[in-house]
Amino acid sequence: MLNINIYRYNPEEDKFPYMKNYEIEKPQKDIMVLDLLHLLKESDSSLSFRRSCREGVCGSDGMNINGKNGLACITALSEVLKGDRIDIRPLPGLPVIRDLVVDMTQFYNQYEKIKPFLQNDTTAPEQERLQSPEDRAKLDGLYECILCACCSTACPSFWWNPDRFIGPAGLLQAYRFLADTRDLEKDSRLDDLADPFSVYRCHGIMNCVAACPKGLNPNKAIGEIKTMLLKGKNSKNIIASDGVTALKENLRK
Amino acid sequence: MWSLDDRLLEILEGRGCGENKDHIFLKLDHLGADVLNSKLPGICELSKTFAHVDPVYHPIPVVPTCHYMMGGTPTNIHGQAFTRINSEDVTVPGLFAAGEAACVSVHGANRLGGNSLLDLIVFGRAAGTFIQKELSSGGGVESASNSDIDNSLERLNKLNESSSGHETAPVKKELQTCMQNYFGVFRRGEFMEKGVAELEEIRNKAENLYLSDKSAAFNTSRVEALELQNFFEVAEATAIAAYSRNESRGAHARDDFPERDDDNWLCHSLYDPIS
Repeated sequence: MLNINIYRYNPEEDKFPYMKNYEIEKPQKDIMVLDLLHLLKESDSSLSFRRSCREGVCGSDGMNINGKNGLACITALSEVLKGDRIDIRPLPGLPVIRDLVVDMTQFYNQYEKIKPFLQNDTTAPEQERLQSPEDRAKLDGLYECILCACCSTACPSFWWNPDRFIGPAGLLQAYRFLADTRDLEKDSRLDDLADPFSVYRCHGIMNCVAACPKGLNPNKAIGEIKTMLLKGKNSKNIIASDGVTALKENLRK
Repeated sequence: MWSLDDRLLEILEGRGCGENKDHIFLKLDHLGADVLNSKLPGICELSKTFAHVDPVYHPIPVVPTCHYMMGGTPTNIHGQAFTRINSEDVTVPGLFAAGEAACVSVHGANRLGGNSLLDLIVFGRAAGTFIQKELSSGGGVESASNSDIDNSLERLNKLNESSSGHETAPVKKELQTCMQNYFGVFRRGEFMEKGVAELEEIRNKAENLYLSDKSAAFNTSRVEALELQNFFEVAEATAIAAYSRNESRGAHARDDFPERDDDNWLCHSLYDPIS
Protein backbone atom coordinates (compact mmCIF):
# COMPACT_ATOMS: atom_id res chain seq x y z
CA MET A 1 0.00 0.00 0.00
CA LEU A 2 1.08 3.55 -0.71
CA ASN A 3 0.81 5.97 2.17
CA ILE A 4 -0.02 9.31 0.57
CA ASN A 5 -0.43 12.57 2.45
CA ILE A 6 -1.78 15.57 0.61
CA TYR A 7 -2.15 19.15 1.73
CA ARG A 8 -5.83 20.05 1.59
CA TYR A 9 -7.48 23.41 1.96
CA ASN A 10 -10.80 24.62 0.64
CA PRO A 11 -11.38 28.25 1.70
CA GLU A 12 -15.17 27.74 1.72
CA GLU A 13 -15.09 24.80 4.11
CA ASP A 14 -11.83 24.69 6.03
CA LYS A 15 -10.71 27.11 8.69
CA PHE A 16 -7.18 25.73 8.46
CA PRO A 17 -5.31 23.59 5.98
CA TYR A 18 -4.71 19.97 6.94
CA MET A 19 -2.91 16.90 5.60
CA LYS A 20 -5.27 14.25 4.25
CA ASN A 21 -4.15 10.64 4.18
CA TYR A 22 -4.92 8.37 1.25
CA GLU A 23 -4.06 4.74 0.87
CA ILE A 24 -4.06 2.97 -2.46
CA GLU A 25 -2.59 -0.21 -3.82
CA LYS A 26 0.98 0.36 -4.99
CA PRO A 27 0.87 0.46 -8.81
CA GLN A 28 2.71 -2.42 -10.48
CA LYS A 29 4.73 -0.24 -12.79
CA ASP A 30 6.50 3.00 -12.01
CA ILE A 31 4.10 5.91 -12.59
CA MET A 32 4.53 9.66 -12.42
CA VAL A 33 3.30 11.65 -9.41
CA LEU A 34 0.70 13.31 -11.68
CA ASP A 35 -0.71 9.88 -12.60
CA LEU A 36 -1.01 9.18 -8.89
CA LEU A 37 -2.95 12.43 -8.35
CA HIS A 38 -5.31 11.52 -11.20
CA LEU A 39 -5.90 8.10 -9.58
CA LEU A 40 -6.78 9.81 -6.29
CA LYS A 41 -9.04 12.33 -8.01
CA GLU A 42 -11.10 9.48 -9.48
CA SER A 43 -12.26 8.58 -5.97
CA ASP A 44 -12.05 12.06 -4.43
CA SER A 45 -13.14 14.56 -7.06
CA SER A 46 -12.71 17.49 -4.66
CA LEU A 47 -8.89 17.24 -4.82
CA SER A 48 -7.63 20.24 -6.84
CA PHE A 49 -4.37 20.62 -8.73
CA ARG A 50 -3.27 22.30 -11.93
CA ARG A 51 -2.08 20.24 -14.88
CA SER A 52 -2.13 20.49 -18.63
CA CYS A 53 0.48 18.96 -20.97
CA ARG A 54 1.56 16.06 -18.71
CA GLU A 55 5.03 16.03 -20.28
CA GLY A 56 7.04 18.75 -18.53
CA VAL A 57 6.43 21.45 -21.12
CA CYS A 58 3.63 23.68 -19.79
CA GLY A 59 4.86 24.12 -16.20
CA SER A 60 1.39 23.92 -14.60
CA ASP A 61 1.92 21.16 -12.06
CA GLY A 62 4.80 22.50 -9.98
CA MET A 63 4.40 21.28 -6.39
CA ASN A 64 6.37 20.22 -3.36
CA ILE A 65 6.89 16.46 -3.45
CA ASN A 66 8.44 14.87 -0.36
CA GLY A 67 10.08 18.17 0.49
CA LYS A 68 11.41 19.04 -2.95
CA ASN A 69 9.82 21.27 -5.58
CA GLY A 70 9.25 19.63 -8.94
CA LEU A 71 6.81 18.95 -11.75
CA ALA A 72 4.42 16.12 -10.87
CA CYS A 73 4.21 14.94 -14.49
CA ILE A 74 7.92 14.19 -14.92
CA THR A 75 8.67 13.04 -11.38
CA ALA A 76 8.51 9.24 -11.16
CA LEU A 77 7.20 7.73 -7.92
CA SER A 78 10.35 5.61 -7.67
CA GLU A 79 12.46 8.78 -7.51
CA VAL A 80 10.63 10.30 -4.56
CA LEU A 81 9.04 7.57 -2.45
CA LYS A 82 10.39 7.27 1.06
CA GLY A 83 9.57 3.68 1.79
CA ASP A 84 5.94 3.67 0.73
CA ARG A 85 5.27 7.23 1.83
CA ILE A 86 4.81 10.36 -0.21
CA ASP A 87 3.85 13.83 1.04
CA ILE A 88 2.59 16.37 -1.48
CA ARG A 89 2.23 20.06 -0.67
CA PRO A 90 1.67 23.21 -2.73
CA LEU A 91 4.69 25.27 -3.81
CA PRO A 92 5.98 26.98 -0.65
CA GLY A 93 5.79 30.71 0.00
CA LEU A 94 2.87 31.66 -2.26
CA PRO A 95 -0.71 32.10 -1.02
CA VAL A 96 -2.73 28.90 -1.38
CA ILE A 97 -5.99 29.23 -3.33
CA ARG A 98 -7.04 25.65 -2.75
CA ASP A 99 -5.29 22.32 -2.10
CA LEU A 100 -2.22 22.21 -4.36
CA VAL A 101 -3.16 25.35 -6.30
CA VAL A 102 -1.22 28.51 -5.42
CA ASP A 103 -1.78 32.15 -6.35
CA MET A 104 1.03 32.95 -8.81
CA THR A 105 0.38 36.74 -8.93
CA GLN A 106 3.57 37.73 -7.10
CA PHE A 107 5.61 35.42 -9.30
CA TYR A 108 4.15 36.87 -12.50
CA ASN A 109 4.49 40.45 -11.25
CA GLN A 110 8.23 39.90 -10.88
CA TYR A 111 8.40 38.33 -14.33
CA GLU A 112 6.54 41.27 -15.85
CA LYS A 113 9.04 43.71 -14.31
CA ILE A 114 11.95 42.40 -16.34
CA LYS A 115 10.12 43.11 -19.65
CA PRO A 116 10.31 39.58 -21.01
CA PHE A 117 10.23 40.48 -24.68
CA LEU A 118 12.71 41.52 -27.35
CA GLN A 119 13.24 45.29 -27.46
CA ASN A 120 14.67 46.62 -30.68
CA ASP A 121 13.44 49.87 -32.22
CA THR A 122 15.37 49.62 -35.46
CA THR A 123 13.33 49.00 -38.59
CA ALA A 124 12.58 45.31 -38.92
CA PRO A 125 14.29 43.71 -41.92
CA GLU A 126 12.30 42.22 -44.79
CA GLN A 127 12.41 38.76 -43.23
CA GLU A 128 13.73 37.95 -39.76
CA ARG A 129 16.47 39.42 -37.53
CA LEU A 130 19.32 37.02 -38.10
CA GLN A 131 21.68 35.80 -35.42
CA SER A 132 24.90 33.80 -35.77
CA PRO A 133 24.87 30.26 -34.36
CA GLU A 134 27.46 31.41 -31.79
CA ASP A 135 25.25 34.28 -30.59
CA ARG A 136 22.23 32.02 -30.56
CA ALA A 137 24.15 29.52 -28.43
CA LYS A 138 24.44 32.20 -25.72
CA LEU A 139 20.72 31.71 -25.07
CA ASP A 140 21.05 27.98 -24.37
CA GLY A 141 20.22 27.18 -20.76
CA LEU A 142 18.08 30.34 -20.59
CA TYR A 143 15.27 30.06 -23.13
CA GLU A 144 14.19 26.60 -21.92
CA CYS A 145 12.55 28.00 -18.76
CA ILE A 146 8.83 27.13 -18.59
CA LEU A 147 7.97 29.46 -15.67
CA CYS A 148 6.78 26.65 -13.42
CA ALA A 149 7.96 28.63 -10.35
CA CYS A 150 9.68 25.62 -8.75
CA CYS A 151 12.88 27.67 -8.37
CA SER A 152 11.51 30.97 -7.04
CA THR A 153 9.30 29.20 -4.50
CA ALA A 154 12.31 27.19 -3.28
CA CYS A 155 14.28 30.39 -2.67
CA PRO A 156 14.42 31.78 0.91
CA SER A 157 15.24 35.25 -0.44
CA PHE A 158 12.07 35.15 -2.55
CA TRP A 159 10.03 33.97 0.45
CA TRP A 160 11.39 36.96 2.38
CA ASN A 161 10.97 39.67 -0.32
CA PRO A 162 8.54 38.35 -2.93
CA ASP A 163 7.48 41.90 -3.74
CA ARG A 164 10.97 43.33 -4.36
CA PHE A 165 13.38 40.51 -5.19
CA ILE A 166 12.81 39.43 -8.80
CA GLY A 167 13.60 35.83 -7.89
CA PRO A 168 15.56 33.20 -9.82
CA ALA A 169 12.95 32.57 -12.57
CA GLY A 170 12.54 36.26 -13.40
CA LEU A 171 16.30 36.89 -13.28
CA LEU A 172 17.04 33.93 -15.54
CA GLN A 173 14.72 35.57 -18.08
CA ALA A 174 16.24 39.01 -17.43
CA TYR A 175 19.61 37.55 -18.40
CA ARG A 176 18.05 35.75 -21.38
CA PHE A 177 17.35 39.19 -22.89
CA LEU A 178 20.59 40.80 -21.64
CA ALA A 179 22.46 38.00 -23.43
CA ASP A 180 20.47 38.36 -26.66
CA THR A 181 22.51 40.19 -29.34
CA ARG A 182 19.27 41.33 -31.03
CA ASP A 183 18.05 43.21 -27.97
CA LEU A 184 19.09 46.88 -27.85
CA GLU A 185 17.87 47.86 -24.37
CA LYS A 186 20.72 46.47 -22.27
CA ASP A 187 21.36 49.76 -20.48
CA SER A 188 17.76 50.39 -19.50
CA ARG A 189 17.36 46.75 -18.48
CA LEU A 190 20.39 47.07 -16.19
CA ASP A 191 19.10 50.42 -14.85
CA ASP A 192 15.87 48.71 -13.86
CA LEU A 193 17.80 46.07 -11.92
CA ALA A 194 20.27 48.45 -10.25
CA ASP A 195 18.86 48.55 -6.74
CA PRO A 196 19.62 46.61 -3.57
CA PHE A 197 16.66 44.24 -3.90
CA SER A 198 15.95 43.20 -7.50
CA VAL A 199 19.14 41.18 -8.01
CA TYR A 200 21.20 41.54 -4.85
CA ARG A 201 18.89 39.65 -2.53
CA CYS A 202 20.36 36.56 -4.20
CA HIS A 203 22.97 35.14 -1.86
CA GLY A 204 23.84 32.08 -3.90
CA ILE A 205 21.81 29.67 -1.80
CA MET A 206 21.43 27.52 -4.93
CA ASN A 207 18.03 26.06 -4.04
CA CYS A 208 16.93 27.24 -7.49
CA VAL A 209 19.48 25.03 -9.20
CA ALA A 210 18.52 22.03 -7.08
CA ALA A 211 14.80 22.55 -7.78
CA CYS A 212 14.76 23.31 -11.53
CA PRO A 213 13.00 20.41 -13.29
CA LYS A 214 14.55 21.47 -16.60
CA GLY A 215 18.10 21.31 -15.25
CA LEU A 216 18.75 25.04 -15.66
CA ASN A 217 21.05 27.23 -13.57
CA PRO A 218 19.43 30.53 -12.52
CA ASN A 219 22.23 31.12 -10.03
CA LYS A 220 24.80 31.32 -12.82
CA ALA A 221 22.62 33.75 -14.79
CA ILE A 222 22.27 35.95 -11.70
CA GLY A 223 26.07 35.90 -11.35
CA GLU A 224 26.34 37.16 -14.95
CA ILE A 225 23.88 39.98 -14.23
CA LYS A 226 25.81 40.99 -11.12
CA THR A 227 29.00 41.17 -13.21
CA MET A 228 27.27 43.31 -15.84
CA LEU A 229 25.93 45.63 -13.14
CA LEU A 230 29.34 46.01 -11.49
CA LYS A 231 31.02 46.76 -14.81
CA GLY A 232 28.27 49.20 -15.82
CA LYS A 233 27.66 52.81 -14.90
CA ASN A 234 25.44 51.93 -11.95
CA SER A 235 28.13 50.08 -10.02
CA LYS A 236 28.80 52.82 -7.44
CA ASN A 237 25.15 53.17 -6.48
CA ILE A 238 24.75 49.49 -5.92
CA ILE A 239 27.89 48.91 -3.91
CA ALA A 240 27.03 51.86 -1.69
CA SER A 241 23.43 50.91 -1.24
CA ASP A 242 23.70 47.16 -1.01
CA GLY A 243 23.91 45.87 2.50
CA VAL A 244 23.37 48.83 4.80
CA THR A 245 20.57 50.49 2.87
CA ALA A 246 18.88 47.21 2.18
CA LEU A 247 18.98 46.30 5.84
CA LYS A 248 17.54 49.67 6.82
CA GLU A 249 14.80 49.43 4.25
CA ASN A 250 13.94 45.98 5.40
CA LEU A 251 13.74 47.07 9.02
CA ARG A 252 11.57 50.04 8.11
CA LYS A 253 9.11 47.67 6.47
CA MET B 1 10.49 7.29 -45.32
CA TRP B 2 7.69 5.03 -44.17
CA SER B 3 4.13 6.18 -44.20
CA LEU B 4 1.97 6.12 -41.11
CA ASP B 5 0.26 2.95 -42.34
CA ASP B 6 3.51 0.99 -42.68
CA ARG B 7 4.51 1.72 -39.12
CA LEU B 8 1.23 0.56 -37.64
CA LEU B 9 1.05 -2.41 -40.01
CA GLU B 10 4.34 -3.73 -38.65
CA ILE B 11 2.79 -3.81 -35.18
CA LEU B 12 -0.61 -5.11 -36.32
CA GLU B 13 0.99 -7.95 -38.25
CA GLY B 14 3.00 -9.14 -35.26
CA ARG B 15 6.38 -7.67 -36.17
CA GLY B 16 6.41 -5.18 -33.31
CA CYS B 17 9.21 -4.96 -30.76
CA GLY B 18 9.33 -5.67 -27.05
CA GLU B 19 7.73 -8.30 -24.85
CA ASN B 20 4.23 -7.49 -26.08
CA LYS B 21 5.33 -6.62 -29.63
CA ASP B 22 3.37 -3.41 -29.17
CA HIS B 23 5.83 -0.82 -30.47
CA ILE B 24 8.56 -0.30 -33.04
CA PHE B 25 11.97 1.34 -32.63
CA LEU B 26 13.02 4.72 -33.98
CA LYS B 27 16.77 4.61 -34.49
CA LEU B 28 18.47 8.01 -34.33
CA ASP B 29 21.96 7.19 -33.04
CA HIS B 30 23.51 7.60 -36.51
CA LEU B 31 22.86 11.36 -36.20
CA GLY B 32 25.37 11.65 -33.37
CA ALA B 33 25.23 13.42 -30.01
CA ASP B 34 25.85 16.93 -31.39
CA VAL B 35 23.02 16.90 -33.91
CA LEU B 36 20.58 15.20 -31.53
CA ASN B 37 21.27 17.54 -28.63
CA SER B 38 21.22 20.72 -30.72
CA LYS B 39 18.41 19.93 -33.18
CA LEU B 40 16.14 17.63 -31.16
CA PRO B 41 16.65 18.55 -27.48
CA GLY B 42 12.93 18.16 -26.70
CA ILE B 43 12.73 14.66 -28.20
CA CYS B 44 15.87 13.60 -26.32
CA GLU B 45 14.49 14.90 -23.02
CA LEU B 46 11.09 13.23 -23.51
CA SER B 47 12.55 9.87 -24.43
CA LYS B 48 14.91 9.97 -21.42
CA THR B 49 12.09 10.89 -19.02
CA PHE B 50 9.37 8.59 -20.27
CA ALA B 51 11.14 5.70 -22.02
CA HIS B 52 14.42 5.79 -20.05
CA VAL B 53 16.25 5.75 -23.34
CA ASP B 54 19.01 8.08 -24.53
CA PRO B 55 18.55 8.42 -28.31
CA VAL B 56 22.28 9.11 -28.67
CA TYR B 57 22.96 5.45 -27.89
CA HIS B 58 19.71 3.50 -28.15
CA PRO B 59 16.62 3.41 -30.39
CA ILE B 60 13.43 5.03 -29.02
CA PRO B 61 10.32 2.82 -28.62
CA VAL B 62 7.47 4.54 -30.52
CA VAL B 63 3.86 3.97 -31.56
CA PRO B 64 1.74 6.08 -33.91
CA THR B 65 -0.73 8.17 -31.93
CA CYS B 66 -3.02 11.18 -32.08
CA HIS B 67 -1.13 14.28 -31.02
CA TYR B 68 -2.81 17.09 -32.88
CA MET B 69 -6.22 18.07 -34.26
CA MET B 70 -5.98 18.74 -37.98
CA GLY B 71 -9.23 20.62 -37.96
CA GLY B 72 -11.10 23.10 -35.85
CA THR B 73 -13.26 26.17 -35.99
CA PRO B 74 -13.11 27.29 -39.63
CA THR B 75 -11.43 30.69 -39.92
CA ASN B 76 -10.17 33.00 -42.63
CA ILE B 77 -6.61 34.41 -42.57
CA HIS B 78 -7.68 37.12 -40.08
CA GLY B 79 -8.69 34.51 -37.52
CA GLN B 80 -12.40 35.32 -38.02
CA ALA B 81 -14.55 32.25 -37.53
CA PHE B 82 -17.05 31.58 -40.26
CA THR B 83 -19.93 29.26 -40.90
CA ARG B 84 -21.60 28.25 -44.12
CA ILE B 85 -25.10 29.36 -44.93
CA ASN B 86 -26.60 28.46 -48.35
CA SER B 87 -23.14 27.54 -49.71
CA GLU B 88 -21.71 30.93 -48.72
CA ASP B 89 -19.04 31.58 -46.08
CA VAL B 90 -20.54 33.87 -43.44
CA THR B 91 -18.30 35.23 -40.67
CA VAL B 92 -19.46 34.98 -37.07
CA PRO B 93 -19.07 38.46 -35.56
CA GLY B 94 -16.75 38.58 -32.56
CA LEU B 95 -15.65 34.94 -32.75
CA PHE B 96 -11.96 34.36 -33.46
CA ALA B 97 -9.79 31.27 -33.36
CA ALA B 98 -6.09 30.61 -33.93
CA GLY B 99 -3.71 27.67 -33.62
CA GLU B 100 -4.87 24.14 -32.93
CA ALA B 101 -8.40 25.34 -32.09
CA ALA B 102 -8.76 26.78 -35.58
CA CYS B 103 -8.82 25.44 -39.10
CA VAL B 104 -7.28 28.11 -41.30
CA SER B 105 -6.47 25.33 -43.78
CA VAL B 106 -2.69 25.65 -43.94
CA HIS B 107 -1.83 22.11 -42.82
CA GLY B 108 -3.67 19.97 -45.31
CA ALA B 109 -4.53 16.51 -44.03
CA ASN B 110 -1.39 16.00 -41.94
CA ARG B 111 0.42 18.75 -40.04
CA LEU B 112 4.20 18.66 -40.36
CA GLY B 113 6.36 18.78 -37.24
CA GLY B 114 7.06 22.32 -36.05
CA ASN B 115 4.19 23.85 -38.00
CA SER B 116 1.77 24.06 -35.07
CA LEU B 117 3.85 26.77 -33.42
CA LEU B 118 4.25 28.56 -36.74
CA ASP B 119 0.46 28.46 -37.27
CA LEU B 120 -0.13 29.80 -33.78
CA ILE B 121 2.36 32.65 -34.07
CA VAL B 122 1.44 33.77 -37.59
CA PHE B 123 -2.34 33.59 -37.29
CA GLY B 124 -2.45 34.57 -33.61
CA ARG B 125 -0.68 37.77 -34.59
CA ALA B 126 -2.90 38.25 -37.65
CA ALA B 127 -6.01 37.86 -35.49
CA GLY B 128 -4.67 40.33 -32.91
CA THR B 129 -3.87 42.91 -35.59
CA PHE B 130 -7.28 42.48 -37.18
CA ILE B 131 -9.16 42.78 -33.87
CA GLN B 132 -7.24 45.94 -32.99
CA LYS B 133 -8.13 47.47 -36.36
CA GLU B 134 -11.75 46.41 -36.10
CA LEU B 135 -12.20 47.81 -32.60
CA SER B 136 -10.53 51.13 -33.40
CA SER B 137 -12.81 51.59 -36.42
CA GLY B 138 -15.86 51.13 -34.23
CA GLY B 139 -16.61 47.59 -35.31
CA GLY B 140 -16.72 44.56 -33.10
CA VAL B 141 -19.26 42.50 -31.31
CA GLU B 142 -22.96 42.95 -30.92
CA SER B 143 -24.14 42.86 -27.32
CA ALA B 144 -25.42 39.52 -26.09
CA SER B 145 -29.16 39.25 -25.67
CA ASN B 146 -30.69 37.84 -22.49
CA SER B 147 -31.59 34.66 -24.29
CA ASP B 148 -27.97 34.28 -25.49
CA ILE B 149 -26.82 34.55 -21.89
CA ASP B 150 -29.46 32.10 -20.67
CA ASN B 151 -28.47 29.60 -23.36
CA SER B 152 -24.80 29.79 -22.54
CA LEU B 153 -25.46 29.41 -18.81
CA GLU B 154 -27.83 26.49 -19.23
CA ARG B 155 -25.06 23.88 -19.31
CA LEU B 156 -23.33 25.35 -16.25
CA ASN B 157 -26.57 25.65 -14.28
CA LYS B 158 -27.50 22.07 -15.03
CA LEU B 159 -24.18 20.88 -13.59
CA ASN B 160 -24.46 23.13 -10.55
CA GLU B 161 -27.95 21.87 -9.80
CA SER B 162 -27.25 18.20 -10.51
CA SER B 163 -28.29 15.82 -7.71
CA SER B 164 -27.67 12.57 -9.58
CA GLY B 165 -26.07 11.39 -12.79
CA HIS B 166 -22.78 10.06 -14.11
CA GLU B 167 -19.35 10.69 -12.59
CA THR B 168 -17.00 12.57 -14.94
CA ALA B 169 -13.90 10.33 -14.72
CA PRO B 170 -15.45 7.01 -15.90
CA VAL B 171 -17.37 8.70 -18.74
CA LYS B 172 -14.15 10.39 -19.86
CA LYS B 173 -12.41 7.01 -19.85
CA GLU B 174 -15.26 5.51 -21.87
CA LEU B 175 -14.98 8.30 -24.44
CA GLN B 176 -11.19 7.85 -24.65
CA THR B 177 -11.51 4.09 -25.10
CA CYS B 178 -14.18 4.48 -27.77
CA MET B 179 -12.11 6.98 -29.76
CA GLN B 180 -8.92 4.92 -29.33
CA ASN B 181 -10.59 1.67 -30.44
CA TYR B 182 -12.68 2.88 -33.37
CA PHE B 183 -11.16 6.16 -34.60
CA GLY B 184 -7.45 5.64 -33.94
CA VAL B 185 -4.60 5.69 -36.39
CA PHE B 186 -6.07 2.94 -38.55
CA ARG B 187 -9.75 3.19 -39.41
CA ARG B 188 -12.29 0.82 -40.91
CA GLY B 189 -15.94 1.46 -41.79
CA GLU B 190 -17.44 -1.41 -39.78
CA PHE B 191 -15.50 -0.38 -36.64
CA MET B 192 -16.36 3.25 -37.02
CA GLU B 193 -20.02 2.38 -37.40
CA LYS B 194 -19.86 0.69 -33.99
CA GLY B 195 -18.00 3.69 -32.61
CA VAL B 196 -20.61 6.15 -33.83
CA ALA B 197 -23.33 4.04 -32.15
CA GLU B 198 -21.33 3.92 -28.90
CA LEU B 199 -20.87 7.68 -29.00
CA GLU B 200 -24.64 8.05 -29.07
CA GLU B 201 -24.79 6.28 -25.68
CA ILE B 202 -21.90 8.29 -24.30
CA ARG B 203 -23.64 11.53 -25.34
CA ASN B 204 -26.47 10.72 -22.98
CA LYS B 205 -24.01 10.26 -20.12
CA ALA B 206 -21.96 13.34 -20.96
CA GLU B 207 -25.10 15.45 -20.95
CA ASN B 208 -26.14 14.10 -17.54
CA LEU B 209 -23.07 14.44 -15.36
CA TYR B 210 -23.24 14.60 -11.60
CA LEU B 211 -21.09 17.25 -9.93
CA SER B 212 -20.63 16.28 -6.28
CA ASP B 213 -18.30 19.16 -5.42
CA LYS B 214 -20.17 22.41 -6.01
CA SER B 215 -17.72 24.78 -4.29
CA ALA B 216 -16.60 27.94 -6.07
CA ALA B 217 -12.86 28.15 -5.28
CA PHE B 218 -10.72 26.63 -8.04
CA ASN B 219 -13.11 23.74 -8.55
CA THR B 220 -11.31 21.58 -11.08
CA SER B 221 -14.00 18.89 -11.02
CA ARG B 222 -16.46 21.41 -12.47
CA VAL B 223 -13.93 22.40 -15.12
CA GLU B 224 -13.33 18.74 -15.96
CA ALA B 225 -17.04 18.09 -16.35
CA LEU B 226 -17.40 21.04 -18.74
CA GLU B 227 -14.26 19.94 -20.57
CA LEU B 228 -15.64 16.43 -20.99
CA GLN B 229 -18.73 17.87 -22.67
CA ASN B 230 -16.46 19.82 -25.01
CA PHE B 231 -14.36 16.71 -25.67
CA PHE B 232 -17.54 14.93 -26.61
CA GLU B 233 -18.46 17.53 -29.24
CA VAL B 234 -14.99 17.33 -30.78
CA ALA B 235 -14.99 13.52 -30.63
CA GLU B 236 -18.35 13.32 -32.35
CA ALA B 237 -17.31 15.76 -35.07
CA THR B 238 -14.12 13.74 -35.63
CA ALA B 239 -16.00 10.43 -35.64
CA ILE B 240 -18.71 11.44 -38.07
CA ALA B 241 -16.31 13.22 -40.41
CA ALA B 242 -13.98 10.17 -40.39
CA TYR B 243 -16.82 7.68 -40.90
CA SER B 244 -18.22 9.63 -43.84
CA ARG B 245 -14.92 10.08 -45.66
CA ASN B 246 -14.51 6.98 -47.85
CA GLU B 247 -10.85 7.45 -48.71
CA SER B 248 -7.39 7.70 -47.10
CA ARG B 249 -5.73 11.09 -46.94
CA GLY B 250 -2.92 12.36 -44.72
CA ALA B 251 -3.48 11.19 -41.15
CA HIS B 252 -6.87 9.70 -42.06
CA ALA B 253 -5.86 6.14 -42.93
CA ARG B 254 -8.65 3.65 -43.77
CA ASP B 255 -7.78 0.07 -44.57
CA ASP B 256 -11.10 -0.44 -46.37
CA PHE B 257 -10.40 2.62 -48.56
CA PRO B 258 -6.58 2.74 -48.74
CA GLU B 259 -6.38 5.08 -51.74
CA ARG B 260 -6.69 8.84 -51.95
CA ASP B 261 -9.79 9.83 -53.91
CA ASP B 262 -9.42 13.33 -55.34
CA ASP B 263 -12.48 12.96 -57.56
CA ASN B 264 -14.88 12.78 -54.62
CA TRP B 265 -13.02 14.02 -51.57
CA LEU B 266 -10.85 16.98 -52.49
CA CYS B 267 -12.75 19.06 -49.95
CA HIS B 268 -13.13 19.96 -46.28
CA SER B 269 -15.65 18.28 -44.01
CA LEU B 270 -17.74 20.81 -42.12
CA TYR B 271 -19.56 19.56 -39.03
CA ASP B 272 -22.60 21.46 -37.83
CA PRO B 273 -23.79 20.10 -34.46
CA ILE B 274 -27.16 21.80 -34.82
CA SER B 275 -28.12 20.27 -38.16
